[in-house]
Amino acid sequence: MAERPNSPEHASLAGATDGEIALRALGGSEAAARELVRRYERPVFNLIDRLVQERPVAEELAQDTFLKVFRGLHTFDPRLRLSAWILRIAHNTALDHLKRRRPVLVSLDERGDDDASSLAERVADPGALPDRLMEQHRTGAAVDAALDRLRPEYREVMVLRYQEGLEYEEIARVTGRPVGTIKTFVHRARRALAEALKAPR
Amino acid sequence: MPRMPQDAWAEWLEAERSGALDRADAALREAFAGVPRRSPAPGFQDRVLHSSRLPAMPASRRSEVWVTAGLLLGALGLTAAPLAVVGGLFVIDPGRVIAALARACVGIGEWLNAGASIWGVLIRAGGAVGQAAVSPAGSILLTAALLAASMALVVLNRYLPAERSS
Repeated sequence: MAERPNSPEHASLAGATDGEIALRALGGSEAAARELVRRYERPVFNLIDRLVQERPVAEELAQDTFLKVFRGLHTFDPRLRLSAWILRIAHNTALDHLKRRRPVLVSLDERGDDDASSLAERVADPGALPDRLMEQHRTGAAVDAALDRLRPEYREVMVLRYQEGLEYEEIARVTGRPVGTIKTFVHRARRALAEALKAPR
Repeated sequence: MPRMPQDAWAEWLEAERSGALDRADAALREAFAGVPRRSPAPGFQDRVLHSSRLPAMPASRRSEVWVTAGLLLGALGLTAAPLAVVGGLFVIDPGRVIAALARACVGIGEWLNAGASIWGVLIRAGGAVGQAAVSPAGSILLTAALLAASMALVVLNRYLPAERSS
């Protein structure tokens, strides 16, 4: 019988740690499995969508990721961070897809986005628009568009470092690259993002 | 008043320009709080849970058991069927079986010689099936076959999506 999100067990899971959720899901609790998906659907989807840049495909790959997570839960070490483990599976799933897919070359100049005007201009004169919340939304959209123009490996490290809050060592574990490479990627990605945001488009 | 993300962006850009890497890192973390994560379509949790069928045994393992059992039963059936025919010859009068087979062969030969029309074949086959179906043994056999087919469809419907997704 499926347990609904408002069931008593689900309510008790809201405050449970990731390790407890993983153990209960492993024991067959559907409520725990639902809670696990609820906690990580956005980080997983966000990372995959940034990498494959194709929403329906990203959704399918995110679903595959969770199926792999459930099948591999018995191999998860509860002393480690569940988020890094799940994101590693998401990374591998997206990478496998990209390897299978024929490379699609998109010219950066062809990617149109009305919101992606110069961030430098906007932050220099924040009072130019009457509503700063609207400005905040537009800034978010501009950064979102600028991120999409970075190289895939830069996009990934930016998402993992600044959106998911992972440390360099964790990003290295997720992506399977040395820590030094990750630090270099983050540094270059930041500079590339700054350049992309400075340039009015 | 809380700091707006724009302030963090401005601080980050300024820190990048001046080469203050740690400050740039911290400011960018703060600034990214205003960049929304992309989300899957509503109902994602239900779709994942539906396709995972998590509890007890993983779907792939359970379907493996079903497939193995089906293959074993099929192999046993195929092995037993000829033996049953041969064994049946000792129980049933072999003369009648051979005579029935011979009649069937003669009938087929006659149809082929006469240029059997598809409609003729269908009418005869339909008649034979109808006759078999109205007999008690035929009805039981037909019901059993329908039940087996329905169960096979139910099992396929339940396990194929899990197999596809794995």
